Amino acid sequence: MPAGPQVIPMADGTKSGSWWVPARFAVCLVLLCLYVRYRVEPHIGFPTHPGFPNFYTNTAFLREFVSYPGGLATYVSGFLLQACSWAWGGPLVITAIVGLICWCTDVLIVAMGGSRVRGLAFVPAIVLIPSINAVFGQLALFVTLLAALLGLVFYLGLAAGGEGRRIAVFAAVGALLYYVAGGAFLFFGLLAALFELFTKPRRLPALVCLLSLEAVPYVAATYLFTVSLADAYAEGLPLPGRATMGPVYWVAACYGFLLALTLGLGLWGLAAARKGRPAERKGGRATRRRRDRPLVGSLALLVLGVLAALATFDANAHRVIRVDYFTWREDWEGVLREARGLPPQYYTEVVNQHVNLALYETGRLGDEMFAYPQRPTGLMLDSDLGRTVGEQTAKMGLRTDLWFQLGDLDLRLGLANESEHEAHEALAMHGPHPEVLKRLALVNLAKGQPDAARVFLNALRYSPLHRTRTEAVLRRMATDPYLRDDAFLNRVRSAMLTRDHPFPHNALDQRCLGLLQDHPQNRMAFEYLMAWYLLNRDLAAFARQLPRLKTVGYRTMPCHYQQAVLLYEKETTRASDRAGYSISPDVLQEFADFIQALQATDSDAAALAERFGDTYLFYYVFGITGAMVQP
Amino acid sequence: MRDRWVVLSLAVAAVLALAIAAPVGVRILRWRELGRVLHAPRVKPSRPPRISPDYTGLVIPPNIAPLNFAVLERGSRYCVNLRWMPRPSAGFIDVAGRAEIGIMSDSPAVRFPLRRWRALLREAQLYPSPMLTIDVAVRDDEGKWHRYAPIDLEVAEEPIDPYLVNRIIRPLYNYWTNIEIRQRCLESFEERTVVHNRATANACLNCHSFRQNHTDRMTLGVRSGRVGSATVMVRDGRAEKIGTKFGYTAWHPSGLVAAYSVNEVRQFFHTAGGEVRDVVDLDSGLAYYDLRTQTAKTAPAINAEDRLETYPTWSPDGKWLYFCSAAFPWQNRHKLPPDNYDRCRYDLRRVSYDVASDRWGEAETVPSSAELGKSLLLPRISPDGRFLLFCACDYGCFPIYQPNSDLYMLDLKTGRYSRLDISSPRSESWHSWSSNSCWIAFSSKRRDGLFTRTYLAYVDPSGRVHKPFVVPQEDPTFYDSCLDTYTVPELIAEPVPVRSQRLVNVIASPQEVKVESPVTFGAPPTSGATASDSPWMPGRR
Repeated sequence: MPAGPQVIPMADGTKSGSWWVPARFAVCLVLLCLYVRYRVEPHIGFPTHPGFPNFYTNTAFLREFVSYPGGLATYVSGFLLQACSWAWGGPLVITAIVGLICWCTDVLIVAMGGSRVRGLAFVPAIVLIPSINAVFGQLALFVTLLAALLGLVFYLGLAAGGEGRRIAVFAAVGALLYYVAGGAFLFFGLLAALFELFTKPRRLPALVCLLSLEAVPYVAATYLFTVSLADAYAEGLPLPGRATMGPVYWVAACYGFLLALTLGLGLWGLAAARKGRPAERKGGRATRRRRDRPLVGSLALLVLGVLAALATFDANAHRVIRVDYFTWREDWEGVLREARGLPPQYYTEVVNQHVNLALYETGRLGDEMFAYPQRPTGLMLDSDLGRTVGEQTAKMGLRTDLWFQLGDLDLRLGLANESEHEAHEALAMHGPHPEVLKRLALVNLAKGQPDAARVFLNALRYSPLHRTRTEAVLRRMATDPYLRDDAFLNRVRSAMLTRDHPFPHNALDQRCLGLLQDHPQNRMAFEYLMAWYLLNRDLAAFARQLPRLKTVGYRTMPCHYQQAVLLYEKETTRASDRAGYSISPDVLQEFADFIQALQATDSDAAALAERFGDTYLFYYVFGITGAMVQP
Repeated sequence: MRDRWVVLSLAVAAVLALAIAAPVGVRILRWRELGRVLHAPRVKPSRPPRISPDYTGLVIPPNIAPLNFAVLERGSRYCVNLRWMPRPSAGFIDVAGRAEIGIMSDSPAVRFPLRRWRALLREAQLYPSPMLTIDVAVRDDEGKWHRYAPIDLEVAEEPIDPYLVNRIIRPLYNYWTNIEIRQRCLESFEERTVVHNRATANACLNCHSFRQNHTDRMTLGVRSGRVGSATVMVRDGRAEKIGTKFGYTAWHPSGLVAAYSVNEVRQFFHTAGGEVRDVVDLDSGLAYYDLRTQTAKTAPAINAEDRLETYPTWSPDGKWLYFCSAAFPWQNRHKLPPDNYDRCRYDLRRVSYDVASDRWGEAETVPSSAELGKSLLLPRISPDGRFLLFCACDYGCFPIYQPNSDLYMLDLKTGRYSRLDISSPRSESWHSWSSNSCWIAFSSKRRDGLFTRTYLAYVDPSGRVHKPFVVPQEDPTFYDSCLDTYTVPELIAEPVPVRSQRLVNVIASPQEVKVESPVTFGAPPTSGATASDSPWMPGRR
């Protein structure tokens, strides 16, 4: 049975152990840091996904977090994760947090008398790797876990002496921890109780620890804070349905591991005591054994870590995030590069929307859109939430971050009010994320509402990462409130609806027609309208809009339009109004070849995909693009 | 050894003396600087400084919290001196030794110390109709001071009710997360959460209502998938849950009856124009909850088949129920937006009621929408029964989404009404009276057109409403970056008597008073509307 807490961080007390443990620790952390930097790349998800907690420096923002238990941990995570805006910042912070979790685990192992199994201190890092891979929304949970473990380390360090002192220390650390990290206190209390039960045992402090698990959140919810009883217990814990994105079970597994470790070490100590073998002797033997094979254990852990990283890193999901990131940066070639070859299950409506936007912005929508997978809903995301509560809940679950991705396209098209609507939904769902505030400021500026825009910009000014740029904008607004010389705003203004049109939900064609009614030269509305007709294979409607080509100012008719014209004319056996545009000989030849090949292959999509898969002809016949054909 | 003690004692004494003298010295220097600054030449042409919030030319309550403001003039140092003086018309020339507050700062944000502000106002109140004068001087980059024309504020004799209860929420579309009913002490900056939906499974918390500015009777609407639709009712410090949701609620002065609306609210969106959101009541009617029998009832006079009724309010004597009423301008109650929604205009109506016999009279139109060509909404009668304050907007039932919504005052003695000059080109709505009928609180979007803030204004005995001012905050730049809207401002004479935790428990509790709603509508919309039009779904926390 080990005697009392032994806080011996990162040293075995043996000659080789004195350098080996810290060295192993450092190597692991360096590897983790490099992995996060070059593989996970948190900086690409940081600006484009709302899972990262927001952080502002004003007191009004802080006030939101100090009013409930666990709020401060979220606030601190928000602060720490601002580092993710730099390529190395996020990896360093994540590594530091995980490193501290491992160090606390090591302290716990030593305190529980498990010096011979100190290698297990690295297990939390391995367990957390899958969670690091799906970086969104999980990091706040790391901070609460770390807070609980740091609380435990403090307790182990300070709670020497009699039972009264131990209870007093537990009460002080526990109360503070509960306020800072909310439900993580339960974990701290449980570990402290196990420690007290197994190490001495001290039944009274253990009982106090256990009773406090029930009492502290109850008292907090009933008398101190405006929180529900459920939240008083669960805030900050990795439970499903809490305020995180993505599955939380890996963080939950880490909690489980630490609990099992404490329990296991305690039982092991008890068993050792029953057999009459003092733990120190066992520990000494273990040290000798480990000294013999120190590298083997470390390599085993390393292999486990690598396996965890390889097995749980979803490279395609990562590419999807890169698509979002490049869209945010307006790196259109980057968007198309990352989207190319994405497996169908990853080629979501959001990716589809980003690809089409990239094609439009590079002037290739009418020529290349069918070179990528296309769905009729992929031009603009479906904003219909459904009618029943079940439908709404399901869609909301799917769309948790979609509100965040919506809005930019609407604004570019000229649907300023819809963009404003979507940005406000994102504000309600995700809080004042800087990107949401930026969009709201932009929309209000475009709509000629600089006073409202100023509120969003003033709020954004408190973001440490956006202060300088926002202040520059506000300075510009002092002399030019409407920012009349801003190219993007002028583009939006020249496209914006000027009349109220009662559009049904998701009727992109009607939106585009409304936009063209108000601004006939809105090229983007025209291309999206034509793309809509092409995707829905409505060639009659498509042909009716061809005369607009002149108004919008095309020199030549885009390739897909030419193919559609040929199809339409073949189907209806009458000439369409091509508005003076001609069909290129290449397209004519391709059309003839396609018809021939279609007959020759008996309409076999797989056989035609390689040669004609990127044409509208193929899409029109098969309803999918060549990129969607399963080999 | 002894010498060492002497040296040590002297050193301690010197440190103490310095600690005491230094602040005094600093203060003396500051006062000297202040004195010098206040005699600096005035800017030409003489004008008051630009300040935010705009607190110039106000009539303020004698019990208001410090009116902290930010000086918008560019400078490197700011000097502000606040003093009070009797109004010349009151017959006093000057009073020696008046309290003053002098502030010298490098920051343009001016914060008056609460205790000294209160002392100054207390002293000023000893004299009739005192004025507050704020002198502002700004030092430019070259070190030259510029003094502005003073800002004069009139201090009214009548205090404002010391508490204000607001609903605080982000600009609301379909989703919500944080909704808070918050009580603000207007005499200081103290705030208290009455209830926060973080603690109520993210429920929607709507309009709170009090009996004649008192908190012995209070209701609060709750709507949530998890806790259902209900009303929390506070009676004499005890809270209970009523198993039906009251819409806009008005307490009878006796406290025995609460009239409320039942609304089939739908939201839709405009694709162009400043305000995106719009709301219609596809159907609505009034009902009342009788506390004596714990039953909900209605009457034909307040729930006509062919009309929409909403926004009830009682006359202070309890003999009349005023409300808004419109004829259905649409045939199809399932279409969204309904046909002619922009021609739906509400009249102000009233109906007599005898609380003892529970008997209703015939409804009569007070001013009609046809007279003004506008929709008349949100009637609220001053506690002395003299004035009726209401909103008028181009159409519909939701003035907060109508930029053209203005405040109107109806003199119940003469029957005449007029638009209040204090109305801005942006939306005004949700007003309430102070219990002494001398102050109103109302919501306005006048600052930026998007965020609703609460404004206070003095109503003199003739019914003239003086320049409104935004509820002061400790940080004078608070509203510049505040993303919350402050709606439904209700002035109350005493704080809400129930703790927040108690209200949360009541909301979460399965125990409720079962009430059958006496107002029923036709079948819910089956076509045209989608969930996106359904008003206000809970967001994800």
